[in-house]
This record gives sequence, C-alpha cells and structure tokens, in this order.
Amino acid sequence: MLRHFRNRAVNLLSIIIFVTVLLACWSQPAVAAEKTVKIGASISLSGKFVREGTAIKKGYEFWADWVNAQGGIQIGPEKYKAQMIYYDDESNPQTAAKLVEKLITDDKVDLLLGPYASGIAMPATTISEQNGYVMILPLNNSDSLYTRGYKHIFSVAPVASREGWSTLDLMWEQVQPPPKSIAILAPNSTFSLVVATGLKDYATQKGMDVVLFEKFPEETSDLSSLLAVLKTKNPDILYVCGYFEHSTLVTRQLKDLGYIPKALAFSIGPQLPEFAETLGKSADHALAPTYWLSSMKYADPAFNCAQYTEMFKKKFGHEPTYQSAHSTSAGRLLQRALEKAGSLEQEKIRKVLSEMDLTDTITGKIKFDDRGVNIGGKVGVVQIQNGAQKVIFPSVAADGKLIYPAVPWDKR
Amino acid sequence: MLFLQTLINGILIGGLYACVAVGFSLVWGVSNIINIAHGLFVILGAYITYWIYTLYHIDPLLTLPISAAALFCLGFLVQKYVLNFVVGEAQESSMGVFMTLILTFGLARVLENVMALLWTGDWRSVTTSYSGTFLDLGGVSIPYIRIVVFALALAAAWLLSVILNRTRTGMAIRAVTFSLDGARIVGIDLPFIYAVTFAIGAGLAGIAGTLVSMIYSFSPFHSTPYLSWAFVIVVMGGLGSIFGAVVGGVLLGIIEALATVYIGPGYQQAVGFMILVLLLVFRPQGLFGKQFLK
Repeated sequence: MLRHFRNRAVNLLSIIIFVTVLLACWSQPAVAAEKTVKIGASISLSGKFVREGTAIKKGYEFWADWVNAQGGIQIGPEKYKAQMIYYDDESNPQTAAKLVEKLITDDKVDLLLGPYASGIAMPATTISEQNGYVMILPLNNSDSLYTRGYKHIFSVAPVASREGWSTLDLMWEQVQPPPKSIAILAPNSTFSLVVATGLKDYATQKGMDVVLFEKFPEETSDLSSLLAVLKTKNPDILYVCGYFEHSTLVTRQLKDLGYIPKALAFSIGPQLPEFAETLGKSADHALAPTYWLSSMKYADPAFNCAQYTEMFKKKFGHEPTYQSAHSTSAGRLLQRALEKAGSLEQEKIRKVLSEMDLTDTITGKIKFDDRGVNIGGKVGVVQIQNGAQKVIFPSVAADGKLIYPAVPWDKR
Repeated sequence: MLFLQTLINGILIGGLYACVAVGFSLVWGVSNIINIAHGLFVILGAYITYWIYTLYHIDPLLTLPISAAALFCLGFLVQKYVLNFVVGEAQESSMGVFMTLILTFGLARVLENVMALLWTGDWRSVTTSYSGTFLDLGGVSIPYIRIVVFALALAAAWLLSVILNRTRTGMAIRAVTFSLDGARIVGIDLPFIYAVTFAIGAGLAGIAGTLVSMIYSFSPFHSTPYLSWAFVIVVMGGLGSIFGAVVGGVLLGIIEALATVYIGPGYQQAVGFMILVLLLVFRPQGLFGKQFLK
C-alpha cells in the first residue's frame, strides 16, 4: 500500500519536474522581453472638443501601431515598442493639467504628446515645462502659447498669426505684376483679430498697401454698406478673417454689389465642402488657408499623403482629418527626434528638436525658432475651381494652379 | 456716390427690419406679451422656405404664403394652449409681464434646440438663379432681390393695416388695445382675440423669415439680431403702431448703414442701441406710438 503510494508520488513528481522544465524553456525567449517606451497624452475625448480630440487620438494611434508594426522606435542600439497611455481631459483645461501631472508623476511616462486646443495646452504645457518634459503640440497654434519663454514645447502647425501669410506669398510667387493693395476685414473675435493683425503686419512689412482694415460685429447679418466702402477703395486682394457665415455673406453681398476684387480670400469657408454647395458658381476662385488635405503632395520617407490616407482609411474606416494628420505628424516627429538623440533624456530630445530641419513630413516643413514655433512650415492655400478644391500653395504640395484675377460674377 | 449707395442699402434693408418688427409690435401692443421667441419664428419661416426650395425646387417667393400660414397656425396654438394661461395676468400686473417673458424665453430655447436637432446648426441660405442680379444706376447698384424684399415687406405691413381697419376681428383687436374693460363689456372673446393677434404676429415673422432666407444666411443659434431690431424699432416707432414700425424700420436701416460707413463697422449695432437708450430717456412713447408708461 505504502509502496504503491510512493510510486504514484514519484510519477507525479517527475511529471511536474518535466513540465516545469519544459515550460521554463518555452517561456525563456519571452522573458528576455522587448523594451517599451511609455508615451502619455491627455486629449479631449468628451465635452465640446470630443470630435477634434478623437481625431487627434486616432492620429497618435495610427502612428503608434504603425511604428510598432515596424518593430519599434530605434533608440541607440535597441528598438523600443511604443506603449501609449491616453486620458480624457473632458475638454477642461484644469483637468488636462492634472492629467499631465499624473502622467509624469504617477504613470512615470517617458514622453508626452500634446492635447487638442490651445486653451487646454496652456495649463498642460505649464506642468510639462516645470517638470522638464518635452511636449510636441500637434495643432495648438495660438500665438500666446509661445510667448511665455517655454523651452520644451514644439508646434507642428504654423502659428495663427501666420495663417494669412501664405496667400500673400502665393501672390508674390505666382502673379506678375504682383498685387499692390489689400483690404482686410475681420469680425470682433480673438482668433480672427490675431489672423487679421498678423496679415496686416506682414503686408505692411513687405510694402503692400493696406487700403482698408476694419472690424465688424461678429453677430452681423448685413455687410452691404461696408462692402460699398470697399468698392470705392478697389483693392487687389480682399481678405476676410471671419467665420463660415461671414464668408458666405460677403460673397453674396459682393455679388449683389456687382463687384469683385482680383483675389478673394477667406479664413474659413472654401476649405469646407458646404461653401461650394451653398454658393454654387459664386464660390469659384475663392481662396482659403488649409492646414492639411489628403490631396496634398507632401511626403514622409515612410509614406506620402495619399498612402497615409489609404492606410488610415483601412484602419479607421474613414479619411483622416487635418487634426489626425497633424497628430500623426507629431508622432513621427517625436520618433525621428528619438532616433537622432539615441536617448530618452528630455534635454537631449529637446536639443535635437530645436535643431530639427525637416522638409519631408506629411504636413510640410518643420523647423523651429527658439519659442518652439514652426517657422519652416507654411499653411497651404486652396482655391475653388469649378466647384472643386485645388491645393495651389505651397507648390511642393500643390495639385492645381492659381486662377488670377477672379472671373467677374456676370461672366460665370 | 458712396453716400447714395449707403442710403439705398439702408432704406431697402429697413423694409425687412420693419417686417420683422411689425408683428412683434402688434403682439406687445395688444396683449402686453414681449415675445422673446419672435426671432426664432423668423428663423423657422426661413427654414420652411429653405426646405421647400431645396426639396421641391419651388421658387422662394411662392413659399411666402406657406411659411406665413404655417407660422400663423403655430402662433395660434401657442397662444391658445400656452400663453393664454398667463396673458390675463400680463394685462394686470408687472409680475404677469415677467411670466410671459419667462414663458416666451423658454419657448425660444425649445424652438432653437428642436430646429438644431432636426436640421443641425449649419448655416443655410437660399441661392436662386436671380440672386446677385442687380439694377445699375450709374455706379449705384440695387439688387433686384432686395427691391422685391422691400416691396413685399411693405405689402405685408399694409395688409396688416387693412385687416385691423376693415375686418370685424381686426376692429376687435384694436378695441382691446384701446380699452380692455370696454372690450370685455361689449362681449369680445378675449382669449380668441389674443390667439389671433399672436397668430398674426407669428405669421408676419414667417413672411420676414422667407425674405431673410433669400438675402441672408441663417442658423437656429443666431436669432438674436432679429429680436434686437424689433426691440429698437418698437421703441422708436411706438408700441403697436404699424406706421411707426415701418418708419422706425427704415430709419434704423439708414442709421445702421450710415454708421457703418461714416463711423466704423464696429458701431453698426451699437448705434441702434444708443438710440434706444436716448429715446427711452427723452421720448418713451416713441416717435408715433401710444404712451409706454401710463
């Protein structure tokens, strides 16, 4: 009886030993696991910026999954997988600041990526700056973010005050003789006035004649009298730094007046399909700045805009928005900085970023001044031609040519 | 030339202002209801025209009776089943006026959000084949569509005065304005008269909405300008006066246009309100109307 029991015990023991050894051998390679780098981002996934925030997150996700599929980020001799940690700041600046703090102190992330909206980036970057963390901001382009003397923030998109510059650059590059005068109209709202003032300063600095610079009430429904004044000044370019409703209003009332300047540009309007849908032929030849379109001819060494759009569509089932493109671009920028720095030390990454001079990204050039503003990049310009959007500036990204001067209303 | 162009712009737009204000003024004058939802009625009228034009390609001008009738019915129902509960109070005490303010304010928020839910908050406008054509008078251009809008707005005001002066119901409405007690004594059905008055006011807002859709862009969340014009014009022209509303509307149009050109576009709306304050201080009965503060 006892012997029988002993036999069974030995059998059992030998099986256990064998299986343990086998399992140990089996899991051996997995223990020598891959290295990971923790990247944290606080983004608006609920609240008023839920749409834009979700687009930003998808852009980051796209990049992280893409780089992991390539084997990871090459930092020094080894490859690191990107491990993303996302938090929802509920579109609230205070929450965003707390979450960035949590990412740094609690989750002990190695790197940070930026939130959506400039108002949210304000307190969030204060925390990252105090902790000596680099933060790449995808689309936060309010000028006031970059006048606080911070050394660790870098913006992928050009700042708002430069938004109107591209239209003038385009004119000087492609029109002979170049236009001499400009009229600038803007509603009384913070963002519009930043764009309008930036444009006015640039035009004056380059010797252009600003014949009219006027603010109008944001809630206005009639601009016919202001446009009557405009007609008497007869500028070459009219730039309206307003919102969608102002752009359609100006177009209709200019047509009522039977007057069109040689070039007509709007801050917001022609980039959106609704503009051409609402106005029909009257929308033609209108210009507008655009931060990104999938039809742009920009290319990253890894993928160009068309390939990016294709892969993104396969992954998420819809085309990327300009927010997603910018957050993917931010991820790629971080990756390239890490590869060049060969280290996870924030100071080394900061130094590499500040010396970065890239021409090959899906959002155009990237080169920073000492505020962290992207002064290399230029906002694109689209023009409506036969009801379709054509990218006409910068020429490396363009798929069309500028039509100038705009065709009079009655000849359309 | 610029002066002439500005003046004409102002006069033509003033017609539309008058059309927006006249219904508001009538309701206020007759039943002492300050209808905060009036601007939303205008927007609703604009949507009716927009959808009929977009879906069935019917000329916006032909949709005028439809939006007027639809808003008339809505106005009648709102007064009969909602506002009539507080309108008696409104005639008696200032607390009652406060009640109608809260009620119409609530109605405005409901309308605003229902419209946003149904049709989104996007900006819409009706663009016809004749939009943008204009009469050229040697440098002064007058868009045809604005002439039509001006004429129709005045026609609506004229029609209202015919109704008030020539029909039995119209005369009953006027009787209520003159003497509430007298109207009660001769047996006028007050709730019915209030409902009809409110319906007429809403119908006029519907007409204004159709006209607005042809020259402006509109969205459910931007109805405030229409309400503020109505306020300024009623104070200018006098409470309950059709003639006052028309003259007040055209005056406001001209003043705004001239202010835009000669003071600065930033003052376009401010000037109207400055006049409102000055009138309330120096001539509270308005230029043509009955006394405000008895």
